Amino acid sequence: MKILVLLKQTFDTEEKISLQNGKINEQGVEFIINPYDEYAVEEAMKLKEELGAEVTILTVGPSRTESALRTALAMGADKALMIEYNGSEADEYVISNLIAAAIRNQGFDLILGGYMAVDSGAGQIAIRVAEILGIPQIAAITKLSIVGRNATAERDVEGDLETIEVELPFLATAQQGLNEPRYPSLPGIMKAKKKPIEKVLADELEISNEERSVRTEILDQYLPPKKQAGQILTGEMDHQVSELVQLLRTKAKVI
Amino acid sequence: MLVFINFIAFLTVMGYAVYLFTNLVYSRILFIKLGKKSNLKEDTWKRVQEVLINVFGQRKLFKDKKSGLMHLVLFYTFFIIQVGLIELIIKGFIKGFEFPLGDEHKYFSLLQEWATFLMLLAVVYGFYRRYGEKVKRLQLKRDGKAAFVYIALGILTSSILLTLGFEKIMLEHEPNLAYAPFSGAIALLFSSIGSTAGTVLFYIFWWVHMITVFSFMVFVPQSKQAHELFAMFNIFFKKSGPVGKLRKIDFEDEEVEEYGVGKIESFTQRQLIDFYACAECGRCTNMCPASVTGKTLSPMQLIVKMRDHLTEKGAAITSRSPWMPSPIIGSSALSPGAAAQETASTLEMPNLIGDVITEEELWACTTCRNCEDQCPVGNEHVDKIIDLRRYLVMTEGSMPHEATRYFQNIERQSNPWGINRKERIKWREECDDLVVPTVNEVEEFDYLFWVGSMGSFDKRSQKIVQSFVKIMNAAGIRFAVLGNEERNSGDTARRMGNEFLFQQLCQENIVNFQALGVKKIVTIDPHAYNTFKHEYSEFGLEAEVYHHTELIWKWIQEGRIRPKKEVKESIAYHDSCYLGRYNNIFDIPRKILTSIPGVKILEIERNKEDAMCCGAGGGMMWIEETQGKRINVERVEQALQLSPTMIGSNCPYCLTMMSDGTKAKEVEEQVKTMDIAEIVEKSLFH
Repeated sequence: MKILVLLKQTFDTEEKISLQNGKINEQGVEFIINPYDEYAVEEAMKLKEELGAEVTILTVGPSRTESALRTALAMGADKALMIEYNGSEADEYVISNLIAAAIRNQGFDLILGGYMAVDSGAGQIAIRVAEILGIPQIAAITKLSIVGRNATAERDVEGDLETIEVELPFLATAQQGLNEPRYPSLPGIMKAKKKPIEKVLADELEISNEERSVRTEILDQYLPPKKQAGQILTGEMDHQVSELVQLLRTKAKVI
Repeated sequence: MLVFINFIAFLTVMGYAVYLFTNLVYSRILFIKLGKKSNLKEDTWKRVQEVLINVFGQRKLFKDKKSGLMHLVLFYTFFIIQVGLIELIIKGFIKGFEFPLGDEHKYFSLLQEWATFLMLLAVVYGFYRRYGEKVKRLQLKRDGKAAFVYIALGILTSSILLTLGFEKIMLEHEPNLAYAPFSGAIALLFSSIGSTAGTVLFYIFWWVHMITVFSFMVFVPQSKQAHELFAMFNIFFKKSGPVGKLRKIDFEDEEVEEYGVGKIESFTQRQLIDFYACAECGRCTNMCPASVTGKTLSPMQLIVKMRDHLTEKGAAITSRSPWMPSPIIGSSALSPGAAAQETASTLEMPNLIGDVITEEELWACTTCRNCEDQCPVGNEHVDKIIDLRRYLVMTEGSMPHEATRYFQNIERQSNPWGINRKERIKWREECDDLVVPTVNEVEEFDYLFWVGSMGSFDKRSQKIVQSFVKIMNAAGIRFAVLGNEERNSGDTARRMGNEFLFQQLCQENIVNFQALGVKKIVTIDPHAYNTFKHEYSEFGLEAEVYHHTELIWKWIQEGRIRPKKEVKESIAYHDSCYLGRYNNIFDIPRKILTSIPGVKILEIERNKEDAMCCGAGGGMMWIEETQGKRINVERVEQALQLSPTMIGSNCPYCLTMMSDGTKAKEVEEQVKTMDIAEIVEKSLFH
């Protein structure tokens, strides 16, 4: 079985975002594998251990993303493909076209990814890739089992559970609860240093100019306003109620 | 002619026994030699001292006074009886033989009689302790071998007195009740049977004694009695240096494929001696916080299981039989490993981790060292557990999920919660009225105050930090903190088996300290204190390291601070493991508390060396405690027996555990939980 995992390197979830010239500042930031993508890597590892598989990790991004690939390789993946792309203007449409172009006709039986990236939160790329390739997709799975060419997945649907049967090849995205990602062992880290990472420049991939043009545009980026201290109303209950109504009208302007 | 036959028979029996004995002991030495070579420091005199104190002084045994006395008697009478044995053997061939001591022989006789009698008493008392009184720790492993020891030693001692008694009848000697009181009494009792019957009975009991002696000799290496042979060597070869200090792994060595210990022969030879030195006395398990609260981990079983595994695997590797004579010992229920040993060559060996020792056991240890502190033969349980954890974490990458998260948080943000590392100094915002400079904000400082991850990020521990800062301000101490430059000390990662992460942090920290020219470090965290003081030096740190209680006491003595205000509290004082058992600091915190007016110190039943762990050590703070009772609740219950108004401690982890414990018992209103720094601060300012 050939498994592909789509992976994005993101800020550590605890990093504070700061803007410089209207753009997100990456200076001195700790980068990690997008946590949902990490579930996808772990699931691929489990399938590899259970059924035997060759696992490839794919990412699109600047050269710093190599460290995320090395971590995934240390977890046990066999090889990696890195589409080098430095422009920040690419949107989900372009990136999914790039990915599809890079993996088309490579015979992957299963493509896994996170159900969204914790930075942009768009949750589009993996699904788009499946659409472009014309294979079925299941989003936000919490359980996956494969027997022969048949797979059963459970997905989280807003507090309910949906069980889906599907035939390989297909694409699935990982939701929290699918597994607990492993900690790379030292021999794993050592071996990862010697595993191959194939690098392709985004410009070298054969896609049309139309497929290369963004469909969305970022107009502005700004930080959320600082949280104001709350106000506690005091005094008689009647007085509090009338004050609250007045504040909602004049200050918060919600009624 | 009869004497000649007797002599030949004796030589045959003795020869066979000696052959078996040397064979069995040699096998075990070979098994130990399967281990890796240990690097022993050449401090022979110190090692001899340890042997004098712990073997000939039997010091640790007296942690249990009753058993200690019993063992002391057994130990010393054993040597006297050995001398008597030589005379007794010759008596079998030369009628009425005595050591040529002339008139002085009666004193030897007196000594031998009393030694034998006292040993018999000790054996009977030991039997009573195990089967009558049913001392809890002696019920941990009840098998035929334990019973055999009492029976054999009972026969061995009484047969000496009977042989000597019937000898007197045989020789028609008048019994001397003053110098041979016990055999004399036997001779008197049976005086009517006559010399011929006396002769027959003399030889019968002589043979009973000889056969018991040789059977016991063959039995010793094959049972817990092997401690008689190995304990002394174990104490002599014990790891020197600070207690509980862990072995450094060389990550530069690229040949290494296994980090930590994944198979029994990966332990060092010194570690393997521990197994055969174990006397199965159960003192370790009796004190273990995990065992006491119903978890699977039992330090004694850990050692015993690894010993049996070593014997089994060693036998397979060296093709030697560890059980002899095999028709008796090999096939009987006495040797659980025997059946497995037969099939060892055909079957695969059980895995050390997983089959012999479970991961559940390994992740229950708080590294509190109470087991090691108790062990009369100087066994070290904790470094073995950590070696096994090292294998799991670094070689296998297999560990509880909480541990994975812990390591990732430390790697990314250098604190256990993964909170942004740029918020480390944020605690300072709460203390506008205090002087807390960072190293970049002052020209010079005397002490680097290592706030630690708990002190920096944990709301409750921040209060300890504030109190200590107030104390330092009042004492006029020039100190500085690292602020956001501070990293994690790496101690917990090391105790959880992640030596790689520890060494990264340790080296970063040392570079940082050296760049700043740090000469003195003070911390409120006994874990950071211990690793800085004893473990960082191996990586190049040269600095004096203090725990805040040490300095507070120093400043009180120097008159820099005067705790004058009355603090009317009855304080149950809880010793932390890393300040207490690891660093032997028991008195300083008590002296500080005594110097505060109004404070009454209450001693919890388990205090000082015996103090039970709060449950947070060894990374257990970060791993969910699901099995059995919660350790912190047990410890708080022990404190509550004294009806204190406060539980005092010296460690941020302990404080968290104690305060959670009082909440679990719903007494947090009546019983406060505080660090010593906070109590001192109350006495200075409030």
